Amino acid sequence: MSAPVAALLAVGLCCAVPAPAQFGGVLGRARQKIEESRQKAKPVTDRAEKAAAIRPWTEEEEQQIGQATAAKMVAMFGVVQEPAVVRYVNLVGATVARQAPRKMPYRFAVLDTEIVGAFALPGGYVFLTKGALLQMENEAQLAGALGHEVVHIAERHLETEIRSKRGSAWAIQEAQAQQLPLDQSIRQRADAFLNDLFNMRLSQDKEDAADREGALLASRAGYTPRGLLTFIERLAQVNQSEENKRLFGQLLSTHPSFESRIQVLQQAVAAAGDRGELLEARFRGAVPH
Amino acid sequence: MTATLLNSKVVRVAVWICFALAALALGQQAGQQKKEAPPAQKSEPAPLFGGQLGIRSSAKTKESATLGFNGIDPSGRVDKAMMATTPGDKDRETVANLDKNRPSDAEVEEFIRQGGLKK
Repeated sequence: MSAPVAALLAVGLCCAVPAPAQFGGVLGRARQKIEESRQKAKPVTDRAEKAAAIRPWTEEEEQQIGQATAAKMVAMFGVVQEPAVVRYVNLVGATVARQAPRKMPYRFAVLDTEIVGAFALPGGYVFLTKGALLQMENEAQLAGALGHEVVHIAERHLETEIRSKRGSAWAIQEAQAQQLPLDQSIRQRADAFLNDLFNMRLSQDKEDAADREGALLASRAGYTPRGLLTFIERLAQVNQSEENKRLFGQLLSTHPSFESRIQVLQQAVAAAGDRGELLEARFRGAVPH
Repeated sequence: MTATLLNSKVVRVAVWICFALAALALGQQAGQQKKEAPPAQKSEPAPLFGGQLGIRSSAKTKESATLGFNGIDPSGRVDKAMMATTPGDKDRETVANLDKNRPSDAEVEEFIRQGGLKK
């Protein structure tokens, strides 16, 4: 046997013997330390870790993320504080939310912006814009619009949409956020959620469901189910004027067209039966136009 | 004589180089000034609903509230600068106070009764 071959065999034998047996516990501990630090620095790519990140938010997480998201919305737009308006919107919202399939503390507020829109945040926060409120003519319309948002929250529509559309990117982001201290983690997840809220279009079936079930919630509460339909019809009419387009840019970038929503709502009204209250005078009394 | 000629040539070349460098520097300065010039102020379109609703806001003066399109780009979408807003303690307090605006069951029932709605 030549010297090089003998040397190779010797090295091979050394490698085959377990490390602790060769050098005792010192090397074993060193390897353990290296493995621990490698685990800490490892990017989140394992299936198990992704699966943990993909689990739905717990109710506590949902509340915390919703609260942080709501704070950012308030910082961005400000909220209307006129006591009569705040009280009235909360009473109508609470009346509709009683009919919701998911019981939780729903809170309603009016954002101080002219753009027309409404937003459903995790944890039961519903924001309607002043621009949307000014386009309404009666309480049934307000009830229908708030019902639409309550359905989004009750069914966790945006959260499930983000998970399905962003898949592993969402999972990695969630897992990374979970490794941060709690306040940073919540803030990061709230920022990501808000970004999706303003930029992601929900699937047509989720928006249709929110329109249909929102109208139904209002109807169960005693309002005419036509409220949301007539509100969307009014928005479609106002949107025809070129100078008003800026009002609807955000709404139309994340929702189906008005025409499509009108069709869905016409079917919902036909199915629910056109009965119930409009309450135009009470609305006019509470929301000065 | 030759030395004088050489010298004068060297001087001429040096003068030309100086001119060229000065021109280059002037050109760069002008370009920089152009870049640093403040952008023309964009005029905010007149509010469509401003002043129609006498609703007070928490975070804005009456004047800024009537503008209403702050942070909204011309297509009507929320712009990036607005998205980067960081909430402060006052905003968090406002959110915490939203719970106080929730009506009691008795108040909701009275509201339902007054409106002739369903319990």
